[in-house]
Amino acid sequence: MSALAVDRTLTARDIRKTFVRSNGWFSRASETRALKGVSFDVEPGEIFGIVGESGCGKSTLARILVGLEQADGGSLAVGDRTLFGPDSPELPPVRRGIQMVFQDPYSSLNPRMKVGDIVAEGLAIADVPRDERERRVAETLSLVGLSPADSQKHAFQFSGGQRQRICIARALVMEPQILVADEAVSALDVSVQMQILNMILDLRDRIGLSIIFITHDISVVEYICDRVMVMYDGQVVEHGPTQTVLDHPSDAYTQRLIASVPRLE
Amino acid sequence: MTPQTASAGPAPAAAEPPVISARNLSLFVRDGRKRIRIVSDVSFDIARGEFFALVGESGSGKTMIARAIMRLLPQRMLEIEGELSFSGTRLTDLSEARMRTLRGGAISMIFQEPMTSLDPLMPIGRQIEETMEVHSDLGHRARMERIEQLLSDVRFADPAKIARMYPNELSGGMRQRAMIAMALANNPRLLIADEPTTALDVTIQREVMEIIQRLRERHDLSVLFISHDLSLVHQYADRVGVLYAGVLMECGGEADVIGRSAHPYTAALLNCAPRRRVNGARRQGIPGTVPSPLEWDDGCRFRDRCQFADAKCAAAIPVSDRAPGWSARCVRPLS
Repeated sequence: MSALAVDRTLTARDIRKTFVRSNGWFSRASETRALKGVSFDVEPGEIFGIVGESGCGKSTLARILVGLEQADGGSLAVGDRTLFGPDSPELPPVRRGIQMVFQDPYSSLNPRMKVGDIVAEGLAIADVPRDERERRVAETLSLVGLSPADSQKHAFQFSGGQRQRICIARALVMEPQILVADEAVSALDVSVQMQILNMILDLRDRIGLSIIFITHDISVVEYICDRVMVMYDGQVVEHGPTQTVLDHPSDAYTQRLIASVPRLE
Repeated sequence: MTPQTASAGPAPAAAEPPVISARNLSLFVRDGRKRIRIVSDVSFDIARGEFFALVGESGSGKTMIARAIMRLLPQRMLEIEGELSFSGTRLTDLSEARMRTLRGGAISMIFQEPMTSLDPLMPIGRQIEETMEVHSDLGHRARMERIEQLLSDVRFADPAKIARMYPNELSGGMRQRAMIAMALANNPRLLIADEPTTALDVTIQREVMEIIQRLRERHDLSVLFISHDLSLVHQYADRVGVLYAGVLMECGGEADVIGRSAHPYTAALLNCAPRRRVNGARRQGIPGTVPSPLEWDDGCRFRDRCQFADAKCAAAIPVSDRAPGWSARCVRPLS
């Protein structure tokens, strides 16, 4: 799966999503247009930031990328492989080569499973033989800075930062081409947050992973992202290299967002 | 007045006791038969009209100090040792009945998630009125006028309409503003704000912080602001206390603590804040994890993670003054 030579650019075009909520028999259903046509590209080995405040559609977009949610329109491709589009069937999540890490490392790990089983679950579903599973789990745990012996422990024996490492290992063991991190460091204390951010930078440098980093935190974007896309009300209001967008925001909303961030300097 | 000039404000009159004074404050919780110390020997003062920030990572004890001031937990659950006074009155000596008149009266508190502190079945105005019924003898009409005044103070354009609305009809930022209005209903002297903007978007956070700042100046209110966010604290606080594993590592004026930190922990924490990488240079996190209360000893609790630690750090560490009003608990201070 990790073919390095082929083009692995992720191309998202005009992705749309509307949520319809029924208000009972006698009222009209209400519609929320969560995504109003979002397009972007993510280059191989790039850390691509998506920022915006609550309700801007960034998490819906993440869920559509990994296949937890279906888009109403638009297309998504990695290189020449179409994941979904107007004339092609939707590719199931397991075959997309996109994995996800969530915000809360406490609720996203099954407390009754051993760490090794949590990380190996995806491989088991994909019918990978047992000894290969064990080898890959051990390799991935060391890749995220845990020890292979940790696979015998339970998730509750770990701190928040270590749990987030387990979540990242669970995503990486499937050898994805793209990792989607949705607010993956937001629940962590600052001292731990920096350890995880540096680990993500290492992963990009060592295995050339593309990372879509979704966050509300501008200072994290500044630290980790090569390019950034700013979303507001289901639309992209601005995108470009991180420094350019943060230093010279052209859109009024981006300007207000950046001005609101408290700074140490 | 901008936050910068506020930090250089005049010293309070010598005669007036600080609004909050903690001296050698230790807090204990019970776990079965075990008594676990969760805050150790903390001393600080909050002056009239001062914005004092307690910063720390999770488990540092910052919220427990706030709860001790409000005496929100019964003595058998949260035991208070040492001295804790509010405007010269020892809080630990007060009866529960007397304490009830302080809570929501002279001391009020706002929390991280306003939805859990608001009654979902009661309109906003009625909830504010309820706190006034308990603490003041205003008549109905005066209360109604006061409610509208409070809601317009927290920048609601149509306060009468907001007063009739239910919490679920408001956004997170609006709920937090309604909470602030409620907290100020009885003209408190101290507002305790426990991570009040952590659940809010940055643009809304700024709005809420500016409201707190403006009301503080107008009413000469003291604020105890509890946060994990150093950059937020830098922008708004007059004085800062840095907590780590139940110990006040450093305490002093904002410009000293954040500008030229004496304690290696403060410096390390500041160094963790993500910002732009110049030429790809990384910032160092702090290696290791915060020790749990069961592993604490008399020595410096940061020494296992501190790059400057040596044998001296395993002994009990006294508080040393760097300058008047600025102290650190470190035998190898940086500045």
